[in-house]
Amino acid sequence: MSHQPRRLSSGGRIDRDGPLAFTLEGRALSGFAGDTLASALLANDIRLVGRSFKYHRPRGFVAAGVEEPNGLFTLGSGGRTTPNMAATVTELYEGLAARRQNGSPSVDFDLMAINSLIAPLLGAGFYYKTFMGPRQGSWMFYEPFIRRAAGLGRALHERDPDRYETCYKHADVAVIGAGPAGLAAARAAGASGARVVLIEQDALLGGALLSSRTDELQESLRREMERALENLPSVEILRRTTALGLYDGNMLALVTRAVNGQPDPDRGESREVVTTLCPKAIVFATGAIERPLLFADNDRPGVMLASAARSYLNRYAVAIGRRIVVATNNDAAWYSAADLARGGAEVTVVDQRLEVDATLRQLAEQSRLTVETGTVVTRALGRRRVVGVRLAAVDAARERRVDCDLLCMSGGWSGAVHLTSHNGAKPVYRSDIDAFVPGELATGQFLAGAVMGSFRLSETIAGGAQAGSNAARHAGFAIAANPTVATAIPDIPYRVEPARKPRTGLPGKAFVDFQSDVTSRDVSAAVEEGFQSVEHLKRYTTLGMGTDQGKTSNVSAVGLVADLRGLSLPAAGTTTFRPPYTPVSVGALAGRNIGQHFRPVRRSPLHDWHLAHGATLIEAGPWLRAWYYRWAGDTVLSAYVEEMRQVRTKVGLSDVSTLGKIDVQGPDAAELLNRVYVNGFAKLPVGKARYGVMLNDDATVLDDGTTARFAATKYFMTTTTAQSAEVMSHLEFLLQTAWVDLNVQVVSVTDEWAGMSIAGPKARTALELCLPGQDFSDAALPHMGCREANVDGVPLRTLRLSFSGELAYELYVPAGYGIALWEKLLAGAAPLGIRPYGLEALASLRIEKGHVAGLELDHRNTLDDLGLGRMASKEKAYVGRELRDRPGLTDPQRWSLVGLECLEPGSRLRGGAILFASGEPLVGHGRGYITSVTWSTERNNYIALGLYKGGLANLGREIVCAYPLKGENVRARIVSPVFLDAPGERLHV
Amino acid sequence: MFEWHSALAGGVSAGGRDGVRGGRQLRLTEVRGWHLAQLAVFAQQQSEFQERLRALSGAQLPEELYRGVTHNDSRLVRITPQQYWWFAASNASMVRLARELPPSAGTVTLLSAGRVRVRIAGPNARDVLAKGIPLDLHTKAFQVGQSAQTGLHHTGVFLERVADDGYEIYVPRSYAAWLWEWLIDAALPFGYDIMVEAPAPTSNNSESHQP
Repeated sequence: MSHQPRRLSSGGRIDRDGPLAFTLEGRALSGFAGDTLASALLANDIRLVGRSFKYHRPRGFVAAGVEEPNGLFTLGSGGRTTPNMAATVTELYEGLAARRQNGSPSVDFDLMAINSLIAPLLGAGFYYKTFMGPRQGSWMFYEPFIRRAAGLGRALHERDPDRYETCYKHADVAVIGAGPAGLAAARAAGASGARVVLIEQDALLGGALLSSRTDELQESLRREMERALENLPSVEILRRTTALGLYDGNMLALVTRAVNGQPDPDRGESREVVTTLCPKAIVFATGAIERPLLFADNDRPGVMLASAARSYLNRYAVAIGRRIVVATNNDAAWYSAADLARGGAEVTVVDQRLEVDATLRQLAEQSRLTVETGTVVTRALGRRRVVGVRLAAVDAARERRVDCDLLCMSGGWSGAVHLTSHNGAKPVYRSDIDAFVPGELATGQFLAGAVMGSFRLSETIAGGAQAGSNAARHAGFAIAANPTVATAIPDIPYRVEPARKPRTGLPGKAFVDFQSDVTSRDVSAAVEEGFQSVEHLKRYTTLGMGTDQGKTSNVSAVGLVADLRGLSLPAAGTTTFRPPYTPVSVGALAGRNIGQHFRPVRRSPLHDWHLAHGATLIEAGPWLRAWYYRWAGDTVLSAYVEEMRQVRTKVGLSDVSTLGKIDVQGPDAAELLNRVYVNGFAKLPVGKARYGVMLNDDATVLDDGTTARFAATKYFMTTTTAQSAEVMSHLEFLLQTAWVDLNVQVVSVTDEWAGMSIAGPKARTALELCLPGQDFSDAALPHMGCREANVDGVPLRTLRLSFSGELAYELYVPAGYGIALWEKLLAGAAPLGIRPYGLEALASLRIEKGHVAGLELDHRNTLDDLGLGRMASKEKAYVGRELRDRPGLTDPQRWSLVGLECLEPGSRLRGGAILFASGEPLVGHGRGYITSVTWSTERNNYIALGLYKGGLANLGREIVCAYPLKGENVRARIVSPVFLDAPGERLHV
Repeated sequence: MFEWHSALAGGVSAGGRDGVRGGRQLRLTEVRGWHLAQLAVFAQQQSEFQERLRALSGAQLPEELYRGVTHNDSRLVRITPQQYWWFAASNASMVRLARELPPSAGTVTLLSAGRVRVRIAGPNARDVLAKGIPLDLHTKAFQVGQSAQTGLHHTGVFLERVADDGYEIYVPRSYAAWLWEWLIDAALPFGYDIMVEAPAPTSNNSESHQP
């Protein structure tokens, strides 16, 4: 164990029996359980924690909580590397490996610190002004260099091996923040029986109470409140959990970090969990954040918020300074100073106020503080650590030096109004506390404690209890009586005067935003250049845009702007706070929706068979489908042609289970079909199926498919795979809104039935071999015939129809029997040489036959565009009919369906190729494009379907298919889209 | 004899994993051997429909939505004002109702082959479901016997609370294997046993097409 030079021998909330070893850039260090990385580094006397964003100035810790702007580290290694982690909220764990950021070659010796010398050039808007020329697009050239020179930690491309989760939670009351107000609120709400979720970002409950000495009354109060909550069964306490954002309907997003710093994903431990919490009421007890003061070189390591120094001393037993100056404009810092003095330091309080309360004088005397009132710090001295300060009377120019090794500052306290503002409630300024408090809240939202400007402990606890009761009552729980707080509570007053602005004309920089390296001079320059609105100023200077979201800088910046523009603070306005309150990893937001689980994957009932029998699968929308089979070839290019040949010459079997299937039943089923299809369905006889096309309201084609009539009031509709959900919604919508009088039910049965297509000249013989009890003759089951039967006790639906242009049947059985029927067909027809064929061949066979499919049915084409205009009935009404005749849809020059045949042996056509007339320049969008392409076993050539301006009026014309991505221009001829058996003789055998 | 093939055949096998604290808090079971039909009642024909149903199964159409009623081995859940789901161990009565019901009274659609039924039971069952289901499943909000149509990991499912610490989900078959992978991974921190529950084999029933 390394010696920890700044650690006190007793006190604090650390576990001295739990030593932890960690490393900083490989250097072995030690701390204790209960430490944060920041407290452990400070205990080891490491003050230089990083280099600043732009100027590469040495920086130290400013804070002890989520507001920390400087102490950002890269943690972990390999895929677990995480940049920009605030050390002040990183719990120390055994083996933690930390690296400081933004130093080259190192933070201790940083060559980029040269930026400090050219600082006058790097002011507000420097990048915008400098890197916009000389040419348009120059920024693209400069950007990588700028990004390398500036910035924080680096993201990496390696896969993160850790596990992240997301979940939902519900509650009657959510209490955000477990400081005294939140603890009281949760207790009051929990006592009513309401389901309460208490959210605390820290590992311990207590909030500000945790920064008090462990032997004080505050600690016994904290413990008593914690115990009371743990005894309330309806209260759930979420430690290490940050409320990231507030959304409509009182919905909250939370992130919970793992208890263990090194969770094991193989055992299901998550690094972070994002929770969507839906409470009926919310109590915001989010506390307050101390503000820095503005003076020259206020960013030197060793310049720190007074509350942070107190927290390091009392909570972590780390004494950072021996000679301390505490500069302030308010009462609270005096109590921090007193604690620091009790820790053994020599402390000087420098208060800008001319007069302070007698109680403060008394405290100073008791605690042996040296007091300088009416005095301000004008400059911090030292470079890598502070060695002194310059002081001046508020109304005098003369400065004098005081030596110190720690400079604490307190510019007053700002309520953490971020969450309450996420929903659009603008914070409002209260001059009595020189701070913003939440604006008007939505119904069911309540406030408690410092966030609303209530700084006295007794008020905070009483107000918390009241807010908790109100929230429970809002959620519908009876509150017997307003809770009383019995314990005597030590109160300290809080009085504040607006902080003085930094003196101008002095050397050094007064930083407003430490993380984004924005100085008071940048703010005044931006205001002078016209960026007067705080929102514009923020974007121009990047103030408040770092990972700390300007938690320490916002109010100071608004104060400066108000001063420069001669406005009151509320008139100067505030910036908009947005989620997340503190940084959250992308992994946590994604949870387990990664890899195969990024989006749903649907599997066919035949999936397991395909996998076991050499199918290569392909994603088709949400489906995983058999693309091609190994029997036909090792690559798709060789296999699909072989599979096509199989179907054209013998018989093949293909999985069509993904087709949409809809059960349509009821006395008005025929009427419904007749209204949604463009062609007639009223007279379809039982035992027959019909191809139909549906239009959208605007007369573009919605979908096509086949519907079979199995009984007078019972139909079986099939849709394309891609549009199945769309068609189902379309029918439901019409039945529930337009045609409520129709007695008809539609039920999606896509998942109910396994479907397979048996196709090829030997298809009938194959079925006769496999299903010997049934008559498959042309007379018994003609083209477009259908019937229901029973095979071995299993219902079987057979439809004689063809997608490929060959004699073909579709067979449907309940999904669990899909594999059984499939195997029966393959086994029974083995003497005929039957083979399975995949999606690629299925799609190619239909191109040869000229059937349109998903690629052509893209909701932009009309019936006539697709050559289907003659199907539309002139006798009846149907959805889309009225809008078919719009001039734009009847223009003969519309892009419409053509067939294409390649004219260049050795070249190929490609899907998406742009079509041009022969001889015209190959620029722009051309006259159309190729939708579907295949090698044709019939034509021994590449053929395609496409859309071309004027369509088949150009029959026989030679055109050019341009594919700029590959630099290909291939000649092709416009032909009929039906490449095979135009009279349909093969279907009627 | 056709052999029935489970959608989870590739993923469900006896076994399980221990959780973070050792031990197995959950039982994940694929329940086989049940039947489901969707019944639709045309508005003016409710009494006719009710009579036929009672004659065949003794079951009543429930009034309240998503709170099932059980009669013998039949369970009925009203899923919309006019639609009901009828669960039973055999589909014989469903097939008969479909055959005998006058078309003007309503419709019967068999859905058992298109759904996979998974039971998740154990003290952390609710915690696992909360990773994907946005509904409040606390006893105060979702009691035993209550059901819901909801989303679980991008998939529409029917959910029913079957015990204090037991829930069943009915997931469309094509999504089932994918959702099962997600479910067992979600259950990993708590540890789980995987089981299959199937009825004892019976003589071949020509109307029952799922074992």
